[in-house]
Amino acid sequence: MPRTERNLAAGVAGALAVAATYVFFLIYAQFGFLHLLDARLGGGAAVGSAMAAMGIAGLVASLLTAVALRRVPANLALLGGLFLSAGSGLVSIVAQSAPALIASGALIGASTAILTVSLAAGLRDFVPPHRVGIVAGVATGAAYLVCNLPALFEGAPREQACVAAVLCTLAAIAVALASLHVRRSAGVRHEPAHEVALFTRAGLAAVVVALLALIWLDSAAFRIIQETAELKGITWGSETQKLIQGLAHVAGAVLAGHLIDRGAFRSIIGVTWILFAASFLAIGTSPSWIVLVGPLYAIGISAYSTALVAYPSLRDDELGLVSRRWRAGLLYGVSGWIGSALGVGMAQDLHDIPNWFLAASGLAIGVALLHRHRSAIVRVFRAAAIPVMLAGAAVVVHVAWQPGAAGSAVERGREVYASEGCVNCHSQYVRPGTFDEVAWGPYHPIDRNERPPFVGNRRQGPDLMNVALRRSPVWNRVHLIDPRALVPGSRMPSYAHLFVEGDSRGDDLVAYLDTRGVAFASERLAAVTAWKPPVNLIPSALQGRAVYLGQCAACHGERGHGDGALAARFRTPVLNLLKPELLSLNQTAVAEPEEVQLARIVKFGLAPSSMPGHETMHDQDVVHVVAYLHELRSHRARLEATRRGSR
Amino acid sequence: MIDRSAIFGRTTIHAFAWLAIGNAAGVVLALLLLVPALGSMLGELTWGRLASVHLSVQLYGWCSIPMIALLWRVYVVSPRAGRLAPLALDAWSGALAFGAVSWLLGSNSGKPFLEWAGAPRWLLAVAMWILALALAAALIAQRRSSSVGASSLAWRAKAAALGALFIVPLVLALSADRAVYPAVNPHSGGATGWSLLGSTLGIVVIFIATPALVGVERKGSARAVATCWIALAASGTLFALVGHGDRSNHEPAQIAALATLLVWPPLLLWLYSKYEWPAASRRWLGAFGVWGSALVSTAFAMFLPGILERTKFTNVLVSHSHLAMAGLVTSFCMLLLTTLDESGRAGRAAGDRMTFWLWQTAFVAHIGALAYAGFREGSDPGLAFGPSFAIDAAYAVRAVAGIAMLALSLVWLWRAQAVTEEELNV
Repeated sequence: MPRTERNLAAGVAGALAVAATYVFFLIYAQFGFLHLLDARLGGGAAVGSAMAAMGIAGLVASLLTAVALRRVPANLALLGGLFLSAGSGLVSIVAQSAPALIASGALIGASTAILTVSLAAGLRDFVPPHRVGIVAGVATGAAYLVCNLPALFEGAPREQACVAAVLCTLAAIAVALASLHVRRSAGVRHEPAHEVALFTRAGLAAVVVALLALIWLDSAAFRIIQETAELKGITWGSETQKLIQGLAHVAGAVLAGHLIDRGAFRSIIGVTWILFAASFLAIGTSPSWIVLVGPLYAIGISAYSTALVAYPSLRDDELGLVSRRWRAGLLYGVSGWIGSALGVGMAQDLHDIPNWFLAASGLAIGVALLHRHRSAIVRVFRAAAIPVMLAGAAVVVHVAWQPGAAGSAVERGREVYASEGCVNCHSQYVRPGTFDEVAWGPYHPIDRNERPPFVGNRRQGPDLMNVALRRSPVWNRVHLIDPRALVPGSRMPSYAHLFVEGDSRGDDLVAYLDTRGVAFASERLAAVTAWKPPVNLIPSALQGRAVYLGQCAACHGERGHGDGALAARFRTPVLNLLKPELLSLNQTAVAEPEEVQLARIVKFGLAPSSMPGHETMHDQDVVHVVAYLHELRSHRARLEATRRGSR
Repeated sequence: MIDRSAIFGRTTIHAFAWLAIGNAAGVVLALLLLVPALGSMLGELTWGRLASVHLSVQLYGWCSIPMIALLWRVYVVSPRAGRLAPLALDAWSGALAFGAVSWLLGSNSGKPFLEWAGAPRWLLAVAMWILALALAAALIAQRRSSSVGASSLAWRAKAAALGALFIVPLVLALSADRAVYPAVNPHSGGATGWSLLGSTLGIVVIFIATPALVGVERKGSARAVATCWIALAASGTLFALVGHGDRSNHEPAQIAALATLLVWPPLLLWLYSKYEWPAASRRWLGAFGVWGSALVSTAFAMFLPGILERTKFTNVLVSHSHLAMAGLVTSFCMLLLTTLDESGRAGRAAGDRMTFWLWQTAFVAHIGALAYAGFREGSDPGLAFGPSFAIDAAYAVRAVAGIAMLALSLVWLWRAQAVTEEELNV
């Protein structure tokens, strides 16, 4: 079969066609046109109809293009697709009525389908086979960068359609010129060895499934981001963010293209899913992780977009392999249009990507990518049959024979402590003669009547041997439900699921914790009374304010009035730190300077109230907080004195 | 009829599979410590439940199954003798799978490393008895199929060892009982000097016997072997004489008793150097020597008064546990598998230079990060409880290293099964 002898002009034309196609699709077909519909139709069913018309036309036209490419040369179909896309965009901006806009939607869908299928099927007629990936990558990255330019991204639909039309026209001219000037010759140069298995029927089915899952995820995510101000703010919010996103797109696309040319097509698909999963999961975590959401997502989009446009042309038409036109037709028809429709539907109905769906998509992609190893997978499953069956039996035994809740709440709570593996993070052992006794309460030998003693090996959290002397049941309850609300930066998992209605496990656990160390209250009080802040520490109210805002304000409020965000979660009102009677709560009942009394309360709390101690807070920070409290209280006292004087 | 090669191949795959599962659980734990909010996605599968899976899968899966391979080497000497081996292996992995799911569902004894509670506790015992029965069947088959008579000294020794193996399941099941709790060092809440000495000597017995049991050829005289057994007898005597019960690490006798363990790294290295090890095993033998020496010396240092107070309950101890499991024990398991697996699967899976050095690099980063975090905790006990850049950074390094180690264990598993596939195709 004669082959096209590629030259630089043809390569540039191919790259320009890829870039124009993506710009048209990204900035207008799936973005600007939607805004146009919203603006002219005011939302509602007509917008849905226009989008449905676009999807249906896209699906049908993708398959029809694949059929037509049997007789029509791909470069001719590409020319037609480029001109049709440019025209459909321009026509849509003059359409005003609902029927005209619905028809425009169908036209845009059909023209996009013709363009994408003919481009993907014919790319290797313009580009050397060993550079299909990198050319697709560079062009895809450039298109995403252009679309992320603030002027275009924030531009009116009319401007976006015009830019896309101009680019499509330029690409069409380049394609026409390249088609006229390329010469045909026999022979193949630098044919890369992309694995055959990817292009058989089973291979194509696997690729279609994997890309369907990715496009589904991406369409849902992009829609949700655009409709959620908070998410938009952390991804495409500022102009700088848009540019960073654009550069991330370039990096992702170029790297993906380079790796695809080296036979890493499967890995690119797998890595894209990992990037998507990582970016979705990073939402809702700490600010330091949230900044990664946008770039990770952008790199993932560009990587799979490059794979999508490159895949059909990675191998030529060969005996036993699916032809390029059907690779492109099925990929864009099924994965592209159906995947997009499912993603948009998910975003509209759920406004979320459920974690189970994320996991299921990962599983589907994993199985699809490993399909060539299916005999090995089957053998591994067969070898694991007995262990897997026994694991299943464990679930059945657990469900069918759950030991009923027996004994007192404390005994049941002890069981919860064991079953939740609390011992893996919390010790119950105070080492005599160490810092432990100051922080965690008095030493006592392990009680071998406890079955078993929960001594533990590790303190990822505090020791709990005497926790009842340091934390109230209410505090423990709030903390178990929402640990980071009370202890900023805590690594403790939330146990809110133990406190749902009808489940006594959470309250049982709290009851058990409230027995830890109660027999040693007098020793604890003596140790607390004996403690005094070191006299050589220099207090700073300014530094104390910083510590106070981080550790205390959540309950006591910014100004110490007891009106913090968490105050409502406690049964009794949170103390107003400015009230003079605060000091009367001090357990030592010894006349001491206010600073010492306040320091003791900060360090060890006020048992049995819900005021917790801050046992591991550095003494210097304790002194700083006391200085800040002293300043707050003095300020209040001065104000009151002034008020009384003015009366 | 099942050939020995198939038995070893299957054992290798089970071992690597549990290594991968244990490492996967470890990676989830590492990520949860780094980004605790991720826990909200796991529902009831909280850190505590997953930690039990991580610890026990590594101990009863990855560390134990290569020992089973050693038993195959000793007892299964003819194809007919190995009839029950696949069943025994499946029963072992099945019991562990049952246990792992039970821990995830919240059935737990509350005793770290002995989490077996309820049905899984006895299922494991049954699996161990099935293994002992499989070995007994192999021993009987050996006598029937060869000229070896019941009076042979080697046959009698095997029978005696097998008798002891029948008792192990009962001992383990009883140890997991909640009413049983070991001696405690009152100054630390941890192990006593004599108990550390005793448990280490139990492992030393295996280490001394291994070269002879795996069948590698000895170079020269048996002086090193004899020296090791004499030293073991002396250590055993010392263990019997030193004070037992809840003894403190502040007692000189306990410290001195534990110090005797320092002789074992050089003695064992001398012993192992007297044997011809296969090429695929030699790197792992080197790692075994390095990490074993590091483990024993740091274990002794960490027992000393003043140091134990700084390190107990911190990430230094977690680092030390990983030095033991991912360093010493993993090297020893690899040494066993690559030496024993007659088909060469284990050697081809894990005998290459690249995965070896990648594992060592990730492992060093892992324990280094944890040791750093632990030393910081030692001077600031609350550091790990709240926000801390130092701890976050250490946990991030640990997570990345853990992901690398998980990837390597998957590579080994994949390679091991791929070799099986090639052989089947042949």
